[in-house]
Amino acid sequence: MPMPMRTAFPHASRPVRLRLRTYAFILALVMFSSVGNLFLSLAMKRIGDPHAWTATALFEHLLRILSSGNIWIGIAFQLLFFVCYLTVLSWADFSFVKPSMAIGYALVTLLGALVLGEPVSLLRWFGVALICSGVALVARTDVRTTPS
Amino acid sequence: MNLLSTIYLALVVLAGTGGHLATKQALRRVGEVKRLRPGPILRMLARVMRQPWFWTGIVLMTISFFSLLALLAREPLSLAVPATALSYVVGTFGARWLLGEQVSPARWLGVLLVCAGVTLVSLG
Repeated sequence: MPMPMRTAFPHASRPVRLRLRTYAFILALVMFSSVGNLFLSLAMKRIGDPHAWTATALFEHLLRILSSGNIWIGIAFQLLFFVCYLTVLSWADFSFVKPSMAIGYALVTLLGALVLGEPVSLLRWFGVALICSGVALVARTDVRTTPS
Repeated sequence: MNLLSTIYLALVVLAGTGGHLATKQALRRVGEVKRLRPGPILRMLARVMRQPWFWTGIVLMTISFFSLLALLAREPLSLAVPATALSYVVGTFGARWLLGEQVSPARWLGVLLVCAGVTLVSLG
């Protein structure tokens, strides 16, 4: 991912490039985080609860979790998320990145409705609309307001 | 909801937000990743892990995570909603007063809309 990004916006001026870069990173990290959660939840739903709350049962439970392939895919995506998060925070305001990441709720709802055909309540759609308008407002503010 | 649950809820929000703000402070000391190539990103990771602020952040986020588990053991899942939604507002206040970021009225309005939207999405 870093390689193609380097020349992704070659003709843009520096502030515009920084802004596009920030948008691209926030979108990427939100997707990594959602896909990571999906794999973690798939794995844990299959594994279920520990059989008992004794030390041996909990240890067996932990071994079952660690031997699940989906858990490791989930962890890999979460690591990717964290590296992207640290990278974008190295230049962008926390008060820019944090609210912008809420776009993930909209993406997850849309994907759930379109791909999995999940029913989405009217209240939830209204929430998604509020989030999108909020993120649109934040996204228009300066990516960074402190000196380097 | 009793006193202990209130304390857990406050810890989820404050320690979680504090953890992210501390991480941001560590990154500010490390400096910006200018060229998006594996080398500079790996160097940023190596440098940030030598920052006490980074580990302060990790400890705070861990406290927040276990407070959430403790909260969910006592209260219904819907109580995690105000924690998630509040963290947007608390995080913006923290960025303003602790990190000196300038939060314009447009950004504040956006944060409040996001906060309201996240509440509705989590309830619906």
